[in-house]
Amino acid sequence: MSFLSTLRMAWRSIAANRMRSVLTMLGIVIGVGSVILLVAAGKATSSAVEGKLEGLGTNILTVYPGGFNFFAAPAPGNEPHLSEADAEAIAAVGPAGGIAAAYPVLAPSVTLQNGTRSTTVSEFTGVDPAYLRTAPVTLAAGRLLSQADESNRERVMVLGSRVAEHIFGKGQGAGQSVVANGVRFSVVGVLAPVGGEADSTAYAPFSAVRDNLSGPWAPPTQINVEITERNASGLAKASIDTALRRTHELRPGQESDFSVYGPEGLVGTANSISSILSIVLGGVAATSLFVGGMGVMNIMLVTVIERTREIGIRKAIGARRGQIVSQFLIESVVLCLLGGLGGVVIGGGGALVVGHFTGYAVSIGAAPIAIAIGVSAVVGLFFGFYPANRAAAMAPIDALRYE
Amino acid sequence: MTAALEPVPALIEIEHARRSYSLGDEVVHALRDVSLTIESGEHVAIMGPSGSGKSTLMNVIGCLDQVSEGRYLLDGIDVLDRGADELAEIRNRKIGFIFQQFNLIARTSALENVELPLVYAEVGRRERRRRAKEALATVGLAERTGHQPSELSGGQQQRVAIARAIVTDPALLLADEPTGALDLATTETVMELLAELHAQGRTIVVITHEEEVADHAARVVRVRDGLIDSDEVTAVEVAA
Repeated sequence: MSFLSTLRMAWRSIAANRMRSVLTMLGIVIGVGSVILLVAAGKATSSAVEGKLEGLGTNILTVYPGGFNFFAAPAPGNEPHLSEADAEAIAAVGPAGGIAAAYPVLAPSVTLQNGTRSTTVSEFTGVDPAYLRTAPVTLAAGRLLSQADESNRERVMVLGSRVAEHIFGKGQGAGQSVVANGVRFSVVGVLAPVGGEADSTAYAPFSAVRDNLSGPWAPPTQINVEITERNASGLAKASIDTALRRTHELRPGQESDFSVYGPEGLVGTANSISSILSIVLGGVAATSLFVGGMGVMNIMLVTVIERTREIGIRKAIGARRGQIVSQFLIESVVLCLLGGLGGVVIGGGGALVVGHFTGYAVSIGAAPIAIAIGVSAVVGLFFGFYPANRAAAMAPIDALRYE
Repeated sequence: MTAALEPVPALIEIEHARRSYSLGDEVVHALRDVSLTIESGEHVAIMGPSGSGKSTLMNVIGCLDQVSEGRYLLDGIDVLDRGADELAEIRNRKIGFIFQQFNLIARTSALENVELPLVYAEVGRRERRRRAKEALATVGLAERTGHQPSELSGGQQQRVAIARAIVTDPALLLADEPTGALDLATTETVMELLAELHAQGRTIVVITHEEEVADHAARVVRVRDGLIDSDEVTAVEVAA
């Protein structure tokens, strides 16, 4: 039997029960749509993480308070913390231990305001101006922070491009002033856009942040350590470990109450997050497509019963078993393919909308779409097989008599 | 000339056919012992009250059902113990069905309905179209090829069904109460159409309980209690 005429028959039957067909497809639409959306979100996140890694620079190690063992919850009031003395101890190791410099960082939550426009900076960094020389930042306008700003405790700030654009407008901000958590700061410079999270930063001198934003007794949120060269990260990690275990007075065998991340460590974390994400995605996809497929099978069984008489007629005028099977199989495949297409449109559209509002660069890519369509077709084949065989197995004489 | 010496096989040769099936605890003998021979080119009416076994006989003749015992040759082919697909192919090639309820496929144009047997016979698209149009012209519906069954009157639907039955040029036209769902006037046109097809040399077997319909046939076979009650030639045929 010709494929085209079978396809036409399938389409006609789907179109005849439009509401029911749409409801049946919904399971597949939601399954495919959510997978497309989540894959796009996962991609956007991982490219944002990559952007962030680039922003962090490749010869910077970061020390955070707290060990690697997330499950060993510290006693309340006794949470591990870092101190400025820790930073000094690390810096004291010197180039022999692979260390070039160590900068304590204060990262309070800060909301910037200019008149009615305000934004919460996702990455506010209070740090010694010297650090900015090592970080990969480029000025678009104004100047970077200076050593004088630090020693004079000046309330000055350098804004990331997106932050500046958000509260001042495109290309503006340098030379103006901004209110940070109620304290007025001068904006001395705006950074050039680099893409990703690195554009949502703001930098201020460590001293000014301590005076005005974090409070005088706040411990450093992290310590950024500049290493002598990229290859020295292993040596530098060991040096940091030794130095901090000494200042924290840890006994041999006691677990460290700090952790050191290099760029490769962050890459590893990002990779493990994305692999967990893809396992979860796979589960979501498999579950929803299975449920959607059951819906399709259910409706196909109903369709077969409803069209018993038609099947009888077809058999009487000479339809062979395989011809009946392929008619109903194609119908369920078309149903699933339409659902898959709908899912691609809805999921892709949703991803673009989310991307538009969050500012993440969203790309969907041909591969997930092709896979989604292919999987829909397979679901149609798999779940259409049983109903189609039921149709083909009917005795023509009984089917003809069916009312 | 040697061919004339050999016996030409009859179109339908049923010998001592029995058909019984169980209905719960009861065994129903629908056909007890039926022998029937129908030659090519005949116009035969099979009559009988309901429950007489005439429907079972029609199903057997139409290869929709199989006899439990006996023999059935259709156009020289022994149809006993054939698989479902083989029977489908035999029905497709040898038999054109005309049903009481027309049994057209809904939401499908007259032309496509008529094409359907050719679709299953895997005839090419262009050839299919040509033959379906020809068949529709034969039944006088050349102008209605694009109409769907719901847009046609009962008589027109039955004519589409007749076109579908003749489109494969089958050896046998098998009509099951073809006018049962039609009013008197349309009954007459449909019966005239069948008579016309018979005049063109087609073999027609009509199952009916209406005497007026049987009157059109040249031979009437009456069935009662699973047996053939009478078999009489009612009109002398002019040999084709």
